[in-house]
Amino acid sequence: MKTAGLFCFAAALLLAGAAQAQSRGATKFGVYTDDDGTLVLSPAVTASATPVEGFTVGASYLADIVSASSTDLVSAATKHFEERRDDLSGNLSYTTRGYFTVGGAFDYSHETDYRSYTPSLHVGQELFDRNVTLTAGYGLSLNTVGRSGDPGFSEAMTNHSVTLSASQLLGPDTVARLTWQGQFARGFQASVYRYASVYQGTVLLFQTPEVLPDARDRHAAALSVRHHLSGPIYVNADYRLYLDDWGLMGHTGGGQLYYEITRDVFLRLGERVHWQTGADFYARRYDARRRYMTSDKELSPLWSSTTGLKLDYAWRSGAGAALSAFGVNAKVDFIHVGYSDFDPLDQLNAWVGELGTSVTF
Amino acid sequence: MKRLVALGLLALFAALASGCATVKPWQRGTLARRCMALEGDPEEAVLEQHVFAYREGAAGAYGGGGGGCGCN
Repeated sequence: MKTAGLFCFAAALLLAGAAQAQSRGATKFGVYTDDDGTLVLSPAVTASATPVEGFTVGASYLADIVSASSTDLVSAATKHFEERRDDLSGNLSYTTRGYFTVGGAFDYSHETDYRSYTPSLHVGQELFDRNVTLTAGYGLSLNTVGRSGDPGFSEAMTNHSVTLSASQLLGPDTVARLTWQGQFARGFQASVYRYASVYQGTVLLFQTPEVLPDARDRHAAALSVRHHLSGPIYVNADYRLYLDDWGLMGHTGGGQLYYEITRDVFLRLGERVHWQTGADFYARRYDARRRYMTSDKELSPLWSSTTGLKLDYAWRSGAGAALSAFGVNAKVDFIHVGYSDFDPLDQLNAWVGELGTSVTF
Repeated sequence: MKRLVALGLLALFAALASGCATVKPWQRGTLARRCMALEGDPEEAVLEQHVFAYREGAAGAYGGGGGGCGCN
């Protein structure tokens, strides 16, 4: 899989080079670590090229190398695990001179106990002298869920995703975007490694494999507004409302402050706050066997705060140069999650670090 | 749920209708700055949404995506 990712990256660059067209390559290396025993390393590489005017072709490869011994896993009697997910995708799009874009993508993701194929399509149109951009997208994700050490176990899950968005210039200093996304999942959605516990008072009676509904309809609507405040200062604000038919409702709000140190360098300070209710069938402790049972802390009531800092540098050459742009960026986020109704854990602290580079020819 | 969909469609229509108030091409110098790009760093967006999808029950409407969240 890694070889395939590098092959796609090289192929995209060669395609662009052969056509003497503009091409872009980027790398990103992410590290996630938390005080619940999880460490994730995420190297990623992407490439895109415009071999013919109007056409853009791209490819990307992403890996997640996970080492974990989290509370969930200990409760499932699994001490520790290490695994790797490989994600390979390709995309092609065409934009007309009338600013109409149509494109498609294919994403393949694989790990030892999970496989996913996701073809997707999207269209977009810029309107009113390019003041308004409307886009629509559809993706079909075909997933096969397995169980490590059990080659006979296989369950299917299908997810349909529909996205509509509208971006609008509100003035020479302000742009806004409204997005709605619906996700409609059918099939096996539980974790094969997670168990729910049934208690009588404070005495544990037994543990049983997690059981979740086979259908889940999810809706999210988000509004983002970006504004040039004054001089080198820009601000961004966003809000998202999330609802699903498992009874989970979430509010997510964020704000970022951009400070343009020079024309090539900016600093971003950000804060994001998320709050959600639990799923209808979630319980801290079950007192009897129920139709649906889970010990998933992400389905429990929780709130989280993410505080981040990013430094971004981009250099641009003059017209006619072989290398037209080069960029490097680094960011650090601190995430705090509070669980109000989850027995094994009442909070989690995590750090996310990223280092990225990009080149444009 | 249907109310939310209707609200989203209504907001989309409102955004479309307000397209008549245009910003001229020569007024877009600030809008072209990197700090004004709503889709600033696509690689960052993918990793960021992956982290939040793993840590929260809510997801969607922020771009990113891809199949197989590696969450099971």
